[in-house]
Formats: sequence, structure tokens, C-alpha cells
Amino acid sequence: MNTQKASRSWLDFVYLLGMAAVAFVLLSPVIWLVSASFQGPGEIFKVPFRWIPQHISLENYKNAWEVGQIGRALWNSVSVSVLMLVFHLFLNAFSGYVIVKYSFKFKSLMIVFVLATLMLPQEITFLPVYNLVKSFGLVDSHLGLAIPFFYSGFGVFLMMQFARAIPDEILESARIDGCSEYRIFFRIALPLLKSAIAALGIMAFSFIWNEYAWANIVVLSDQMRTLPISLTFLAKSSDNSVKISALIPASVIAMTPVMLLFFIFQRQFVESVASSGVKG
Amino acid sequence: MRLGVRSIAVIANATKVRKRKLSKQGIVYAVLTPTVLYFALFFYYPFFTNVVWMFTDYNFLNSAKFVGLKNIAHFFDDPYAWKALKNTFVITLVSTPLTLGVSLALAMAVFYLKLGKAVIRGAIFSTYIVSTIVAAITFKVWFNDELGYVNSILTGLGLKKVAWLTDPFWAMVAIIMLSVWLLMGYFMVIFLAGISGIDTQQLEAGMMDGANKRQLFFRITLPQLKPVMIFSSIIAVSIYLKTYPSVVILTNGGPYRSTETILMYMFDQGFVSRNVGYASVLGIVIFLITMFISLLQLKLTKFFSEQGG
Repeated sequence: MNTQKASRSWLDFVYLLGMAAVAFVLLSPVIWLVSASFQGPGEIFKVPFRWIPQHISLENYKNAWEVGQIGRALWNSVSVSVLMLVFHLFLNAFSGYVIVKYSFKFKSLMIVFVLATLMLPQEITFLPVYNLVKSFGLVDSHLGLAIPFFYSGFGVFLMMQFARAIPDEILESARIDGCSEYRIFFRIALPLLKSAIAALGIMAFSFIWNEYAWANIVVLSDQMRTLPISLTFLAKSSDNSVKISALIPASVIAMTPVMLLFFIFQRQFVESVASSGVKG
Repeated sequence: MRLGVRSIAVIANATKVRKRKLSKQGIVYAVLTPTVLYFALFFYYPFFTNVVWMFTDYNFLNSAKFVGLKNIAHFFDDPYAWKALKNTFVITLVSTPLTLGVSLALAMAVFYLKLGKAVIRGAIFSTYIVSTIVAAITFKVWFNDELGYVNSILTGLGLKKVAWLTDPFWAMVAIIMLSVWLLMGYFMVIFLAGISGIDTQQLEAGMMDGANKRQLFFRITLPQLKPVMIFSSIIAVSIYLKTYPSVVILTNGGPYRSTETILMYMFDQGFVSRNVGYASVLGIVIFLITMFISLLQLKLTKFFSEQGG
């Protein structure tokens, strides 16, 4: 009995080792990137590759910071992401909640009007939206980079799904206590929508942090480049090993904020993805 | 006439209810007016502008000039547009089943883990957290003909070097590998959630009846995953049809436009060549294809769900 149990847990351990090997192979591009970022230009392409750097050098990072203007790009990416997230979360949550929890004329028309945009690939709107943003005078600005993503059909839809779960009795009893409609939203509904906002926030942040198509259009000056744009410029001109060794740490810098958030909120990340699948 | 206390209370209550109604109306208008305006301005107006621009010559500077069906006719005999469409379809049709297959295999393998399940799941999922641009850069360095890591492994194994990014066929292979890599962690998590929702009683009954693992998988697990599979294929197809930044970095559409995608061609026409009218035609084509495929998939969903009972 005991030996059976022991061999059982031994098998489990071997299985784990096997899966760890699979995970390592799948993750090897990321591990390679991080490891290579600390190695000198000559070492990166040595055969065999040293997964653990022999001597750590920060030269590449210094190089990327100066040549690639990565510090500036990092600042732009952070500004645009914060701007987009604040508006995106607040506006979608408020709209989804009001659509679900209030009765008004043309309600079903309103729902169709918002949800129909889910069928439109947003990239194809960028040509006319460029004109629109230009007429607002927002080309080449942080606001201009964020404004096409303030609302989304998906965001409103997600918030509607979660707002439905808020019991009407809670809202009604707050009304009887003389709470104003706005106060009810901020004090009662918003805290109850916390997990939905977290899920949408995670999805929206990983979207805007990596957004390339719109940024590539609306960024004109070098100072306004976000990380994806800077990296693409570096990547397009990196045809020799010296330039590649500046590109690699820049990529690591671009990857780090999302990765850090992932390690802190791993459960929420996985759950937000898992729930998006089951609901569909 | 004297009013009784009761009727005063009734009147007071009525004004209270009316006030309440007004404030409810107020919040609906205050919140939803910007919403309607925004969706009109950033989704509907651009879409209809695209439709109008299809019939014009426009370059963002001069005002649009009506040219009738010129742009649409040009689309039908533009070899680059058809090539870009073909490339996009190849990426989509090969990557979608590959991604779903790999993700399902990973999900099954992780599902049966007894030790370290959360860690392995998190590690594989983290590939999805890596941005398209960063992953594409890494793949570009790895697939470099002379210095790349992949070729150094191949020569180490005694094989010939492959001209990964300069040969049309192998460039496409590299793009598909990147596409699969980018989404496999995402779909693995979705499948894991699907597998966890499977009716275990059926599995137990199957085991009692002496079914082996393969039979259990194909007869019980897979049919129950059908809704998740269909949802995932819709998502995957709609993402792969819009393949863009990964190709910009990996091959920039080359060699000889052999990997250029339709979205890349649209942006190139619109913002580089400034053929905005023609780019609008391409945009509407992308829209129609996405619509058509989504409707087809929904039809298939209905068909299969009726089949499955």
C-alpha cells in the first residue's frame, strides 16, 4: 500500500518534470531574450548559447536607453495607457450599468447600436478616424493616441453582463434612503463591479500597451513614439549584431511592466481569460 | 376645503416619485448621450465615410473627388491585393487548427498534473502576456539566416541551414510559428476552463464501462468541448485575419510580398501611398470577409448544436 503510494507520487513528480521541460521549451524565446539582454554583443550569438550569462553586463541597457530613446518611449507608453485605462474603465462601466439598470425609451435600439460595433474590425476605421483626430488637433499627442479606445463595444458588453448580477433590491433600498442616482453608482454599483473592472482593466492594459496599428499612424515626431513604435523602428534597422544587442534590452524593458503585473495578479489574469471563454 | 394629513402625504409622495423619475431620466441622458455620440463618431461615422470614400480619389490633402467604380474595378485586377488576401488566408487557415490543437494538447496535459499545476499553467500562459512586437523581435533574431539561434541548432544537428526569412515558403512557416506561439497560452487557459466544466459523472460511467483513455477523450471530453472549440475558432480566425505587426517586424511583407497581409496592404495604400479611396475598398473587403466568416461560423454552430441535440 505504502510503496504503491510512493511510486504514485514519484510518477507525479516525473510528470511534473516532463511538463516543466515542455514549459521551458515554449518559454525559451522569453528566457533567451532576458538572458541575452545581459550579455555583450559578441556573446549573444555564440554557439552554444549560454542560458546563464557568464558575466553580467548592463552595457546593452545603457546603449538601448541612449540610442533607442527607450526612456522617452516608456514614458509615452505609460501616459497613454493610464489615460486610456481611466476613461475606458469609467465610461464603459458607467454606460453598461445605466443601460442594464434603468428603463428608458429605445433601450433595445441602444443595445444594438453599441453591440453592433463588435462586428466592425476597428483597424478599418482608422483612415477616417485619423481625419477626425486631426480636426480635433490631437495628432501626435498622448490624448490622440488614446482617444479611439475610450469606449469599446466589448467593454460595454462585459459591464452589462456583470451589472445584471447586481440585485435591484440593493439599489432600491438606497433610493428609499434618499441616495442620489450618481451616489448609488459610485458608492454601491462600482464596488460591486470591482471584479469586472479588474478583468476589463487587465485586457485593456495588455491591449493598449501593445497597440501598434493606430500609434503607427498618429505618431509623427520621435518624441511621441510609444514602446511598440520605438521597438519597430529599432527592429527594422537592426541588421547587425551591435544593433541587435540594443534591440534586445529595449524589448525586455517593454515586456517588464506587463510581466510584473502578471506575476502579481496571476490569478485574476487567468480568470479573466477563462471567464471570457466560458461566457462566449 | 381642508386637506387631510393623508392627502398631504399622498401629494408629497407623488412629487417625490416624480422627482425620482426625473433624476433617473437625468442620469440616463447624462451617461448615455456621450456614449451614443462617441460610438457614432468613432465607429459609425468612419464606417460610412469608408463606404463613401470607396467611390472617390482622396489623399488626405485635397478634397475627395468622385471617380465612380474606379477603385472597386482596380481591386478586382490588382494582383497585390489578391496576393495579400491569399497570404492572409494561408496564415489564418493553417494557424487556427494548429493553435487550437496545440492548446488543447497543452490543456489536457496540464489538467492531469497533480503537482505544480498552477505554476505550469501560469508559465505557459505567460507566453500570451508577451507582446506581439517583442515576440516578433525575438523570433526575428532567432530566425536570422547567419547568426540565428534556430539555424545554429540545425547545423548542430548536422542539418542544412534554412533561409528562414528570405525564402517565401520558410518566411510563411516562421510567421505561422509565431502566430501559434502568440495565442497558444490564451487558448490553453480557455480549454482548461472548458475541461474543468466537463461532467465528471459521464467520465466515471465511461471508465466503469471499461473505456480506455483515448475513447474517453474522443467520445466524452471532445464532444463536450464543442461550444468552447467553436467560440475559440471564431476568436482565433478574427485575430489571424488581422495579422499585421508581427509580419511588419518579421519580414515586412517580403520577400517579394510573399507574406504581406491584407491589413498591412490597406495601411500601406492608405497612409504610405495615400490612395485613401482604394484603401477604403480594401477596408470594406476586410469587413465583408470578417462578417461572412462570423456568420458562417454561427451557422455551423447552430448546425452542430442541433446535431448534438
